[in-house]
Amino acid sequence: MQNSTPPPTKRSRVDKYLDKVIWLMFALLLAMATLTGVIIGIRTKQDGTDIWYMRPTESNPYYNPQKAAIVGIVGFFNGLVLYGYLIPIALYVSLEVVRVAQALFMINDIEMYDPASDKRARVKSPGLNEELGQVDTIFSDKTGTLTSNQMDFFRCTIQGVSYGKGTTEVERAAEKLGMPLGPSPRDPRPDSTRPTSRTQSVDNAIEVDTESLGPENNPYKEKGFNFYDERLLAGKWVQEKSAESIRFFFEILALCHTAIPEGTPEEPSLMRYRAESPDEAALVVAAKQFGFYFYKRTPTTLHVRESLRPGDPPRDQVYQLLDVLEFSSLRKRMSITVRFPDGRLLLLSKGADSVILQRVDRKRSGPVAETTRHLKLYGEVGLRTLVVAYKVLDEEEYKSWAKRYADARSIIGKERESRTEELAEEIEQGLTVVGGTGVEDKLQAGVPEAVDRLARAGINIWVLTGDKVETAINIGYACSLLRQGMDNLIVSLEGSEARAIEERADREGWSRDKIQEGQKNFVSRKLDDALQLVLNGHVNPRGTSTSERKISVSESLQSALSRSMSTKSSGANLSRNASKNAAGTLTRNLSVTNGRHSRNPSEGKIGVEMLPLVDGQKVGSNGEGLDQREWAISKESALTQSRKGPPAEPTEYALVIDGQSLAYILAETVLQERFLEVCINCNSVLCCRVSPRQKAQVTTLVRKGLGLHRLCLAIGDGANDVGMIQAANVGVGILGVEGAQAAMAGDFAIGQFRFLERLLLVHGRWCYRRISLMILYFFYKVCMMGWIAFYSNIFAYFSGNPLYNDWYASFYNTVFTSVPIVVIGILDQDVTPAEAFRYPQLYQSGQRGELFNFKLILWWLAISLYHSAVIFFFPLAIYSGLSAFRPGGQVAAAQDFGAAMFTVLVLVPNLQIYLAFHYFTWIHHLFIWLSILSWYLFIIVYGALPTSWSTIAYKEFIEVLAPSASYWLLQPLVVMAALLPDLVFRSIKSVYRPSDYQIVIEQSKSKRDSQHQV
Amino acid sequence: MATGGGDFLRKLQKEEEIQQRLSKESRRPKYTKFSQQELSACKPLLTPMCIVFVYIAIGLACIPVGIITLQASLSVVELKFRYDTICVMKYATATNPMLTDEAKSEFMQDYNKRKNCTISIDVTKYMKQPIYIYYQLGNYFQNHRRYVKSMSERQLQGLPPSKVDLNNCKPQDMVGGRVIVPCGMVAWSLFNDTFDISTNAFYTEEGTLFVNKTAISWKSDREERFNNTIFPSSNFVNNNRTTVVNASQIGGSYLNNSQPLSMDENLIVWMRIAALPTFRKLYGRIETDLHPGTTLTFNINNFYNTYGFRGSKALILSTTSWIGGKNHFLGFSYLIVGGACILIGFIFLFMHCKNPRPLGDKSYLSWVKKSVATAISTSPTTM
Repeated sequence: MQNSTPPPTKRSRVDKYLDKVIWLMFALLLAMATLTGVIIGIRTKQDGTDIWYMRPTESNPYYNPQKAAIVGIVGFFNGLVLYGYLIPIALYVSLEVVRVAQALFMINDIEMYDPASDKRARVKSPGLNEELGQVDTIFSDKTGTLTSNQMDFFRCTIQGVSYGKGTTEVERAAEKLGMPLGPSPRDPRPDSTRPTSRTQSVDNAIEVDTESLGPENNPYKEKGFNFYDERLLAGKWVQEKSAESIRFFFEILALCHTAIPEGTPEEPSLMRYRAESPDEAALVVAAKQFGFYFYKRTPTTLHVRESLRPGDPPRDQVYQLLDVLEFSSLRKRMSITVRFPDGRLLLLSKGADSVILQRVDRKRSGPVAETTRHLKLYGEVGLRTLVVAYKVLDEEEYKSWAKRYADARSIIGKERESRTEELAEEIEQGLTVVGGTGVEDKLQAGVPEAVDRLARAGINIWVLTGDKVETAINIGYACSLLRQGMDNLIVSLEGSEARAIEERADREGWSRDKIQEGQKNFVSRKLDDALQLVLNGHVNPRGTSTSERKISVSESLQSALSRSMSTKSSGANLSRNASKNAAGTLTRNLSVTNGRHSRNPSEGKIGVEMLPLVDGQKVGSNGEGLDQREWAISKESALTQSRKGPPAEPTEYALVIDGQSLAYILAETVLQERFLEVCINCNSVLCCRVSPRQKAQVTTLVRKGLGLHRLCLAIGDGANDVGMIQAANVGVGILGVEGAQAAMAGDFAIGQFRFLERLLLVHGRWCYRRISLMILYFFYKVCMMGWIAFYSNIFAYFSGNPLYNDWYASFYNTVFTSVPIVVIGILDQDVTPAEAFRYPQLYQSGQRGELFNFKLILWWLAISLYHSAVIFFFPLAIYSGLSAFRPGGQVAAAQDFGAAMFTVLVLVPNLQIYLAFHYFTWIHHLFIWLSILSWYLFIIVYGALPTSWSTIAYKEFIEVLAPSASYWLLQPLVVMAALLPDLVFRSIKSVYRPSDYQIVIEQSKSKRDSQHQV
Repeated sequence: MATGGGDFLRKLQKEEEIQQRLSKESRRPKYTKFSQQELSACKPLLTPMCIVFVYIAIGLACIPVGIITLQASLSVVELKFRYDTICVMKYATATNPMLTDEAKSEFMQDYNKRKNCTISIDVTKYMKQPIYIYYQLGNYFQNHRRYVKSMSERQLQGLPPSKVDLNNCKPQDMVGGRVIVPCGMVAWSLFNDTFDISTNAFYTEEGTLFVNKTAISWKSDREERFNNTIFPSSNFVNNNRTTVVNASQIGGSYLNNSQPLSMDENLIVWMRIAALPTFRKLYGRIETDLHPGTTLTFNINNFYNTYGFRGSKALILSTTSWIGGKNHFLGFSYLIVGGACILIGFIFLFMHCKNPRPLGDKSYLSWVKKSVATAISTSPTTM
């Protein structure tokens, strides 16, 4: 709404290219017509009055030696009309028809129907269908697009015991891709702290009771809660060893937040919480599920209804809320001070592990190591993690602090913030860790697979989100945008190094301008470093180990870019390490990247294992070796740095950048260019904390900056994505539950993100193929008419006398040759959807524009030149009028030649279809043969009309052509002679330079054959 | 342009939505093989063995056809001689040595001069009747737009010509307020040389060979296109040597006013426009076999002026076969195409045996090739 701009008119790249080609054809037409005019003018002038049978002395625009110029001009216009077939006007109509049909296929695709919202795909701009087959870059919104914007409490760790079964989306995705994520936290075995004897029996008991229950069939599941572990649910937690701690943990969950309950306290199942973020609400819901039902908030009290055991009557507890130290993206934690009903005075905290763990009390730290380990694992499987901690407050100390805090809060002005900040810092020290939580920001179904396949299809995926850097990175991992083994380049003004600038500015009292200057320089330097790394990283010979290479990068980079530098150090103190390492905000990311290394026991040998590439080369001609190589490569793109060792591809990079940095970049051309260059070399780009306006700006920047060669698609669900959707070459809206603005603004609309995969890899690819083939074929066939008109003119004094009457010509483009190509434009396929998904790389042919480019246009023009020559001169040899073409001694006249030639002119392009295309249903066969038949029917029916109608076609077929053997012998001859060179070329190509398509088809065919044999 | 389809779709989708909302049915698309694009289809693959098979099969089919066709056209006997120059050179005098086209043309335009000539040719091969007689004109643009248009199809049908027709017929449209029949320059420029043939052999009485000049046109032309109720009138006014004195050109025949158009087969043949500037037209046919050793003597009335525009005139006698006249094109083409196919077929067979490509070999996939290439060269690549 606020960003509404009039929807831009978008035209597809193919369309724009087509325009250029049409102009070219127009130039050619003009040239040919001019040549015609000049020649007829000169000849008329030269021959003068000699040609008495033309009555040269009488004034006539077609032959008048006295006014040869006029003859020339008339000849020119005649030529324009005659060769006008070169301009395929019918193409536009056919394209329109075909695109609508393609759109109908998309709309009616069951695979793109979303049963949840009962919505089909929608197509608003069928003119952009083929763009879907050429997308290079996808700009995706995050919330509501990649994720369903629903946070579910999924796991927790309490006193060093990890609870929660079930599989996260990320794990499922990883498993599907054949890459188990190491020791999974859902498997409780590694937790040595777990008391064995008692819980084991409990476990067994539960198994008997609730056989059918499990993470997949969770009776407790509700919005915000997808946790299953029989040890904690249904009041069973009281039997756990550390029941007291567990109780305390739940209490903290129920208390330490700023959510407001909405609903009646008597109906817990209908209670909704309005919280700052959905994950906060998820924690409160979790507390409710565990028996600590938070139902009322007053400014000074928090009301919780405890029901510890299923049988026990619920107990209402009132906690005195003293202070709230609110959450901010800078603090990354929130705390409250609260007095428990039993009189204890406590500080309850929850926050990012990086910040909380720094503030832990050395002596009573709680289960730090275990918690850290668990949270690291949670992070790896894509959960958003928080550490939960507390501190017992000393009454006196608190009193003095509370007074100062109240004072600070009453300050009006700039100082207030820093003052309260300081005081919060003061009291949030000496914490004791209780445990941690893992909340899943649920991805939409199928997103990781879709993203992975899209990435393998060679599409760069950018996520533009309003979220903070950390969240974005998490989601990046969750939907396999960021992959193990990728280097993450991070440009953020939230990092500690960047914050140092602010701090220094504060200290030295810099002016606003100067701060900005400093920040800009910082961003610029970061970009520079990133660029160097990206470029050098590519040229770097693979023999050297990754760590060596990275060490050589400049110091600032080292500290700023989050990479797996500190790999070799032990995993346990990593987070601390990392936070010291300056990229403070990015600890979690670091821990994730590092997770790969620590998880992979062979990490140390990385340098050695870099060599399988060489192996692959050695095996060379051996088929198995090749297969393996291919496997390795596809696996590689499938995000594995598997145990087999890292594959040969250059390191992949991902750029993570925040909105503030983007603002500086967008403001300056130099930075824009540098930014673009970095982005081109990155497989994924994450833009965090960007405004809707920036989303559009970035999209425009990339679209314009990368020029025609790159095609951008934007996908989003909300009003804030409208700008981006409009700015991209193709906009796709998600038909969300709420708001249809994105869907309205988009050129296409789908119900789920995962449909994008089918939209691009199947429909897009097909549409691109269909439209390309169609345009090329159209040029081929109309050009033949043009060339033939020119050939016949050569023999007719360039006077522009057509060999056949207008009806033949107009039926040529509307009846005899028009339908089969439209059928192809609607139905053609190369590989099946299953094969397209199996080999997403096939999509790259669209990005490279392999099916529609100047070379191909020239090729088809060359074919049309050759075909037209065969079509014209072969019949001419028989119907020249210089020898009888029938036993009756008759020689052919112009109309006989014209009709015979037209026969093959209909045959050749129709049969060329069988050569040039590879997919034929009964519909194809029907229309090809109907088209051919229609010519014979036409010439029979038209020839039977009275002569004043049919003129030169009168009884042409029945009387003149059909009874002669030469006519029937001519047709197969011309067809063979015309198609032979093309056939030879295609044979050679298919044998020695097969297309990807052919290999894939061959494979599935041989697979089918072998199945038949079995 | 692109909006047209978009509008249509938008309307369609909206209607569908409203309907479904009303009916409260699920909007799940119906499954048909067609709508889900799952029609069974054949996907022909050019596999090496099928390529070899296709080529050799084509070749084997073409060669016999070529041989038979070539044989047919080789059996045709054709005699041809050009007479235009010879016929005027006969009249060369000291004052007009007929050295230039202009001189010849000038001679032709003189109505008072005799222009007949006699030419003899020997039959060298047995010619089985019917033997077709053609005249051939060279560098004559019957297919010039100006010329082609100058006639009225309606008039030939017996209908009054349209205004457009008449305009196209100019200047041969009207004379003395009456419409010329048939109007236009095509009819006006009708070829008017005549040929009488005599022979030394005693096939017929008096040594003349009967030339049948009927049924030399298409049946539909003489029976339907040219009406038998239409009689020529005022045709060829300008060139009629009895009525016009200052005619500057010679050529064109005076039509018999008492004979309907449909009877004038010469005109009918002439008015079927030739495709090329060099063309033959059927003149008549000899319905007697000619034996080697026979000498044919042609008495030619050389009226038609082709000298002014560097044209040529020739006379042709030809037999026919089932395929037509003497034209080896079809036969040779079939042989060449067939031969080429077989050759290519064997080349492919050879190449396939020597260096086969296993079907579905993944190393040919472009992305595999690319990664191998980059791996080998270790050169920088994007992505």
